[in-house]
Amino acid sequence: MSTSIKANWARLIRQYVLQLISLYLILGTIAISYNALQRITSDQLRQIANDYHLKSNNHLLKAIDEIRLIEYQLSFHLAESEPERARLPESLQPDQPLNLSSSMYVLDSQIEQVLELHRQYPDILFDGMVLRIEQQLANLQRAVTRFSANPQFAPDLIRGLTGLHTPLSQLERLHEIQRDNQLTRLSEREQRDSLIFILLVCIALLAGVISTWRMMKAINMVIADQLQAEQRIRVFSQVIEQIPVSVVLTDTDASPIYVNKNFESASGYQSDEILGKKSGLIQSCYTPPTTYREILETLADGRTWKGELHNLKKNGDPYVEDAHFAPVFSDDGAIEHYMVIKEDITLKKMQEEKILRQAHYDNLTDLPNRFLALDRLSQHLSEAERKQEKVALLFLDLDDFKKVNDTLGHDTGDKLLIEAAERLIHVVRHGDTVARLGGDEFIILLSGLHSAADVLPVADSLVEQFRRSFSIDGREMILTASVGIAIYPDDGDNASDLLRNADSAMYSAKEHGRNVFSFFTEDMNQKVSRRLALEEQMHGALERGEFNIVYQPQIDLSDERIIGAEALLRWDNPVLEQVLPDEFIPIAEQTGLIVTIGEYVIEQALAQAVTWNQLNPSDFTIAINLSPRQFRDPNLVQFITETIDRSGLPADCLELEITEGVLMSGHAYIDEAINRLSKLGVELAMDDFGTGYSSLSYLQTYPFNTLKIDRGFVSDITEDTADRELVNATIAMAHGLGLKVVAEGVETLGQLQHLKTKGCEFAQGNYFSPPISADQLTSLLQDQAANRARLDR
Amino acid sequence: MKKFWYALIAAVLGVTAVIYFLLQANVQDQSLYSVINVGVLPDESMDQLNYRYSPLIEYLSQQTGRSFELVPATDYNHLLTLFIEQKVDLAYLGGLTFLQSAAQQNVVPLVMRDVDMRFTSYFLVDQDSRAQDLSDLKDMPFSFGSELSTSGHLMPRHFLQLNHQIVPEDFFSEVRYSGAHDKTAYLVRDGQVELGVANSEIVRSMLRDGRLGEQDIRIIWETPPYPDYVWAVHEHLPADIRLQLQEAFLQLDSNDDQHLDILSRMGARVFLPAGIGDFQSLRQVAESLDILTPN
Repeated sequence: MSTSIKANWARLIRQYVLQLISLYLILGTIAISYNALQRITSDQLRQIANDYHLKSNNHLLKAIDEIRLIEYQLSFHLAESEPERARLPESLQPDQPLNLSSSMYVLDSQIEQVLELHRQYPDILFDGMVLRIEQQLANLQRAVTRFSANPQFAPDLIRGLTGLHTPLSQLERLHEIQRDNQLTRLSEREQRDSLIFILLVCIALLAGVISTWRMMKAINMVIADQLQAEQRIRVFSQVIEQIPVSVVLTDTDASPIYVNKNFESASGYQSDEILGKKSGLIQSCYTPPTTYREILETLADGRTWKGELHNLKKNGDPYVEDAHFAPVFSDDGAIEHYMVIKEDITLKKMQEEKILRQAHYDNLTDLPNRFLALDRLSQHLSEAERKQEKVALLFLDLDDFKKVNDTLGHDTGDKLLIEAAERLIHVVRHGDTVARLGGDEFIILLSGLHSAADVLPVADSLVEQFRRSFSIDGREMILTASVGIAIYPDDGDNASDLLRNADSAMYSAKEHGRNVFSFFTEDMNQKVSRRLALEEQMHGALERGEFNIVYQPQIDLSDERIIGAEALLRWDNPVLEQVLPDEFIPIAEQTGLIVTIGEYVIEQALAQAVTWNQLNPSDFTIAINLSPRQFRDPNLVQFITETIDRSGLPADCLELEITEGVLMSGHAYIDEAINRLSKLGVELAMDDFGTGYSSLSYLQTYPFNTLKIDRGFVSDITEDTADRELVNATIAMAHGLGLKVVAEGVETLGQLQHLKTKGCEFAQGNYFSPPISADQLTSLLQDQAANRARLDR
Repeated sequence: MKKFWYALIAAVLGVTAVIYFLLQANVQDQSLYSVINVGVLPDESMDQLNYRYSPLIEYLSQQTGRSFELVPATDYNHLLTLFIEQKVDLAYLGGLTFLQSAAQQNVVPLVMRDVDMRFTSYFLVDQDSRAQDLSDLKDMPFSFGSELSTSGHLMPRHFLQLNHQIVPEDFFSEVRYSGAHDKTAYLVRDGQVELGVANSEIVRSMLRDGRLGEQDIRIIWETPPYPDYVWAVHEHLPADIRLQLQEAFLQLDSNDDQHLDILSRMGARVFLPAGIGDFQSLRQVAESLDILTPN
């Protein structure tokens, strides 16, 4: 029962008991005091009745009797002296003879008593009679005296006797009447008293009944209220039982008095295991006692406490709850209970963690992702600034990872990444970070460095990791990485600068070959900017006619005659000035502009070739370089075919120079393109032979006609034995395979002579002519034709 | 809660008031009684009444120093009404009349004659009547005196029932109420009724003064004695006047010639104090006969 209902009850009961008690007290007091008063009066009356009236009457009657006696005796006495006496029978004779003196004495004394009583209880009612009695007594005494002296006075005596008799009788009667009245009054009093008493009792009863009735009404109201309250409680209980959160109700000692069903299922504990147990709120040591104390203090203070609690279920499973503690107030504002509402947020928390995790960590490798990495980077930077230390940012890119993904599938690629990530983690220290930026790019953060040199061992070991082969799904493969390094504060003082610079460094590393790391330097920065500038300028350069083609004549070594030319692209940009092909070709490749530029080159060169063909009847061959990117264009073969047709040039006057890079991708469409071109009759030359992978199988697989020796080898023929032998071997091999050989970069006579000796058929180089304009070549050819004509004559 | 306390206080006050008024002795009217009105029972003719009571009234006037007036009443009821309305201060009432007045309000009995203690009634028949006993008079016409008369109706009826087991309405052919004792005697003498009952004292006085002759009527039966007749006053009459009246009556002495005249006219030798207790038995009889209802 709540305190307010208890208070209600107590108040009601107090009220009515108080009312009844006070009522009865008052009535009782009235009754008792009245009774006492009346009793006194009654007693008085009774006393008078008995003492006065009764006694008086006794005496009076005795006096009257005495008078009668005297009369009787007297009549006899008188008759004695007369003959009538003989008529009176014997039996009527008085016992005693007349003795006036003694009779008078009796009379006297009796009357005296009466008078005495009258004096004791004076009453005006009797005064007259008493007076007469006294008078008559005196008369009688005189009559007696006279009679005693002389019997002749008998009539006087008789008169005196009757004269006394009357007032005595009267007084006796009056006494009797008064006594009757007194007694009547007494009984009336008593009746009245009992009436009053009954009245009081009735009042008391009535009041009692009314009080009780009112109390019953009040009780009924209270009960009705209570029933209603109970009903509401029942309804709310049901609600609480049903709601999908845990509800616990405790007393002020934090001992549970009620738990709902949800609590049971959430905690695994049944209600009877929890009720009445102190600290039943918390079932595990996960929640520190300080928190528990804090909760209790907050509650005792009348405030609510919200927070997360970590608990253990009965079966030992941990779970997390979002708890809301609140005190429960009674109607008079006192804190009677505490209540807790708890929601199991274990799942939610897990999901939150998962989301957080996903937000910060890479799904595949479990490494921090870009977001977390950048966050850590800024942390490292501010710490480094404070501690005056250096931070290293390493961009790690897996070389040719795309090739693996394409050839071996994404599953293998993923496994590779995971393995790579593992290896990388092993390299770094505890406080450092390895993160996956995406794709095959990783970022490593090294903090707490004192100099840039501190990075070296780490960079080294990173790269070292990739010297070992990866064994995935039974395959062994070598993966290499390019690492770009940027240092704070040397290479930038903010995250974005550092990132950009590390990225640039990485690209630089890539360019330097495989499995290297490269530090960012300033001219790399410039390089990047330059690259961007080139890109920018390249767009629309073709439309602006900034491209032009120069041709380097190819010489037949047997007769030192120009038999063809290699078309080379030149770009003259107003902003950038002359940009070397080594610079802009890769950019053209990356941007894909190479396709349109290439088409331009093909068109122009073919058109030129046509005119030159007419000049030099021995089938002037035009050689055009094709890049891997051009092969990606599905229209390439179509375009070449159409252009050849349009130009009218015989197909075999076109030679396409293809580097190894084209072939390395292994894409089916390249094979198909090459075959179609070959079918067209176009000649194929392998360019830069010996510089790259130089897979000899390529020479076998594809229908090459010509092999071009790279200038690097040619330049050292006369000095370097190794190069000379290589060149010799290359020529021999090419001849063995039925391929023609073209030597590039012939600069000296000596080189020429050697090549001639070894059987190299063709050559081009500065010795003969640098790349020249079409017009210049035309005039050369004209000269040559003129000379030939002369010689022929 | 407050309401209860108010109610309680009111109840207490009410009870106290009730008790107070019950206890309260009647406040004496301070009205002057310069003239005392006297009323007597019209059980005889007015002349007779005057003859009987004038000397008494004069005597009382002398004794008290106040003037007295005899107020005539037409019948017993009228007298009762006058007395109740305090138009009569001192009344000479029959027993039943006294009881009736006492039933209405407080009357104080003052004095009675000595003969009033032992009153009787005579059952009268005509001298010529052959009836020897009351039982001989069955189915004969019968007359009471006044309906309110103790000696003319109440006690005779009581004794008829008690001693003879006679219910008049059943036994007699006719039951009349003459209204006065002398009238009853005349009815019997004149033969209008066979039987009548009248105040024995009045009958005796009628015989004495010749209104009735010895040959006119015969007394067939005398009732046992009972109390009757009383001089009574209102309770409102001041006590000193009451005392004066009481003394005056009681002082009447047969030995005194003047007094003797007064006394003999009223048929008394001496007056005695009267109390209500004297009429207890009468009251019981009246109640048993269901007569004690005020008209």
